[in-house]
Amino acid sequence: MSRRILLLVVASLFMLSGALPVAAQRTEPIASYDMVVTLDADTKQLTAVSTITYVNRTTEPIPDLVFHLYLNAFRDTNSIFLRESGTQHRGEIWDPNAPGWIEVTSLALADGTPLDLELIEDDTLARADLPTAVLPGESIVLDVAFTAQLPRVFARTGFVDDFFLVGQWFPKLGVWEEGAWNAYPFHANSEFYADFGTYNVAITLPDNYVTGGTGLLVEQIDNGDGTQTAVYHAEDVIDFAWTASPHFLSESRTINGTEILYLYLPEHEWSVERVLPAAAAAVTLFSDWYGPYPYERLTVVDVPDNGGGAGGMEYPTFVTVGPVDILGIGAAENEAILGSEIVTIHEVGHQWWQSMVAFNEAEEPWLDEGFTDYSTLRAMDVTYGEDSGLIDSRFIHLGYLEAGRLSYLSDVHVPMAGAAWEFGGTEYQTAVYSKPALSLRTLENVLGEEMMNEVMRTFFQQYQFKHPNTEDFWAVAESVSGQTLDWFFAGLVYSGNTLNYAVSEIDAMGFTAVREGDLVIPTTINVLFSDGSSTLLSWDGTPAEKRFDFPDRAEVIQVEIDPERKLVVETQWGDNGRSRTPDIPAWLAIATRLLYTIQDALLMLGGL
Amino acid sequence: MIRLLSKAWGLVNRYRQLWLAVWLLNFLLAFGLALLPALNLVDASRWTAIRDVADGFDGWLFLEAFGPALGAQVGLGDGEATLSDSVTAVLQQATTLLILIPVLAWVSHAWLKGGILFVYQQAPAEFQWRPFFRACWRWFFPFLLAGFLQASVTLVMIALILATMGPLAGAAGSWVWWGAVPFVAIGFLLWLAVGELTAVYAVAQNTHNIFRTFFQAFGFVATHLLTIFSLYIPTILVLLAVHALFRYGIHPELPRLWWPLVLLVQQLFIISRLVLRLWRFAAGVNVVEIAVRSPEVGSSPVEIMSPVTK
Repeated sequence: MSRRILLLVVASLFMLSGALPVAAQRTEPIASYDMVVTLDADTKQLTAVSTITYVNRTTEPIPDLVFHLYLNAFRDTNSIFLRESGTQHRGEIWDPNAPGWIEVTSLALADGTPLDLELIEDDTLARADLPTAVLPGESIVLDVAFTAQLPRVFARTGFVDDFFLVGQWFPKLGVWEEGAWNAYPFHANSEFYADFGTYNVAITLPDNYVTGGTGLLVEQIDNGDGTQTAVYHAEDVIDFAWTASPHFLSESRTINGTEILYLYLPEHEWSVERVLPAAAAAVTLFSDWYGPYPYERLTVVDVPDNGGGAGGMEYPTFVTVGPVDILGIGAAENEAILGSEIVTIHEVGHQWWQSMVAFNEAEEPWLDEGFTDYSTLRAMDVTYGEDSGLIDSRFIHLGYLEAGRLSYLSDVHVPMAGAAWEFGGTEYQTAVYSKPALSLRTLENVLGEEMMNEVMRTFFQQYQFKHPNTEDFWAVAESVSGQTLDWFFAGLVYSGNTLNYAVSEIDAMGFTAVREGDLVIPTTINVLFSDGSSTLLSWDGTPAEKRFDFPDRAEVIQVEIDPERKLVVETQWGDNGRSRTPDIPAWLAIATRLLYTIQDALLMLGGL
Repeated sequence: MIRLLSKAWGLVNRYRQLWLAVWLLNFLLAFGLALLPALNLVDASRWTAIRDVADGFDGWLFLEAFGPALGAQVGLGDGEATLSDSVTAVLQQATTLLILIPVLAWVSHAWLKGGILFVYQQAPAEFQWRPFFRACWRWFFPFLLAGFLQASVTLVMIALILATMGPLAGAAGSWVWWGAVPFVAIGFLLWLAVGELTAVYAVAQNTHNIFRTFFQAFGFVATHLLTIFSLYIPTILVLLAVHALFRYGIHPELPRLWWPLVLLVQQLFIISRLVLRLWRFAAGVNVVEIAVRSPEVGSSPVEIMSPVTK
């Protein structure tokens, strides 16, 4: 069957069939793709034809089209991506012997009118003028044929041996906004931005492969020639990714009507009992906190040990996790290190904060990663215990919150707002992941958990299947909470203001509290008196130094600012509380441990 | 062998003054090393956050110690020591300790070993401090040299094992590490026996020539594997059981702020380990004594001498 005929069959299958197991559409599709693709498992090459239906739902005529050709970022070291990244991404190195690229072999309107496609920027973008502009409310249908070479797995896409993660693999339209196409070249730190649409994708590949993809597998055809065709259908999604391996095994469980399908490799069977429960917990909690998960299936994909570049990535209804050696010490399987759980919950969180609330990941990466990391922090606490996280062994503990603080403290002055390419490597981690997570946790602690849930739920429901930005969140947060939140948005999002509260002096009559840094967040102060009584004061953080006296009370013996450590963006907690006299029992406890540690070492090393 | 171990335990029990000697030296050395860093923390204990540190080690201590150094340029005014300043100072002193501890461990071990072995070889003579100290001094330098050589060879062996196993595991998988464990354990046990019996032979023969006694010990171990395993496996297993009980059972459950209880339990654990080590030395003395008195065993007949009391 020729590809063209198969494409027509695939398209008509979905148009005519009323029996497909899909829910009612929730959005009006803008960019929809019907694709027929063949994978050559030996050459790692894709040949495909795609019919794109684009509906102009803006109020402006659109005179041209701009496509992303992401795979060209991996063609050679001239690409912006490889120049900016130094050919490394998340510890994986681009293999010059296995590059990736995409070539559009033909582009035409549905009536056969050919369009000239001009490569722009570094070949990761292409532009075509239209003979006539697409007017508001009108649609256009395009036929595209292309060939794509998959790279050895790198930056969320590619192959390793006979494992394939096929992401960012087809010519994808940008987003028309404010009179222009919002489409950037593929930058090293950048992720993606696309309109919602419907995808019908028929994938032909060797018949011994197991596949997984965005949406639902609606048909699997044995072609009788050693190949099979797997047909996927997805609605209300912004992208389509798929995976294939002859070694995949699967386990699934159903949560609130959504089947969570885990495709895993035999050598990682141990991960089933860790990844599936984590994914189930995430779906349950995020549905409860933000809004229900509307898709029928969520596919979670394991990746090979030597294919780390494929792990930890989010696509609509499809995420990759794998056994995550988050500390890089070969300890992915160690149950005391919750890397697999963290990454699973994080990627599932993106279903809400990227796949449904479709932020512009290139221009404002803090929104999708930050909201997701904050959600991960919360879900880890609920699922694995308060302040659980990176290492939960019997002898050493490093919570996810503490790890986030460590990252934040390395770049405290970096603002969260900014395009992906504006940040350096460590700055990006702080600005996009840890600082937003800590800032949102601080916001939650200031507003209260119930109010924070209300803010997040309102924002999600107002903007699911839309493209909100920081200003939209600001408006919702202030409207729902009824508070001015300049300290959060002006102080943390748009600037690198810092905050440190400290007790600078204490005497029998009172104490002096100081605030260092330009960030001002209201807090509380707990004061203990010599008669055993205590009082909890509120302090708005101004002025920067303030003396508190208690002439009518017993002697002050101890003071602690923010005693519950709610302000997790505070740069130093160690100077928040002070006593008038040394805490001798605590000191002796430490001295005892120090003495024992040295005795132990003397014994171990000397034999006596 | 049970009789041998039982007899050795009798020796250990008879000379309890040695318990005091080995524990006291260990305690005083550690106390001296801990004193300065601990005193630096007295003032820091005015900060209430010290309780988090006192209550157990976790990421919090790490953050507060290193966080400000990482770039959060905040802190109190000039002259004010924050908690993190104090913790950082203590950690810097701990780095110095990392160098001092192995040296002191080596020296103290070399000092005590001669005296301990001498006392056990003089059994059932009454314990006297003066001969004990004389024996400590007599074998101090030979055992210092022996300790240095043994430690050096041990480090080279560990490096060789890692250099060999790393590529092997990389090629064949991590199971190689687990497969190597029994062999490494047996090798470690035999090497430990050679090292300890070298000292036993030296004291038994009243010689400073540790190279000769090394070969005697090596010959003995090579020809008496069953005896060595029967002696070392039970004593090592008991030692491991004590470690497991303390480290996994008792220590994690101790409320850290109840420092007198913590101190008591920790010292009991240290004393237990020292006594088990003395038990092994006493058994080694008995084994060599039997070997050198039996014409059919041992590499060469030797005369048991008493250099300190003659």
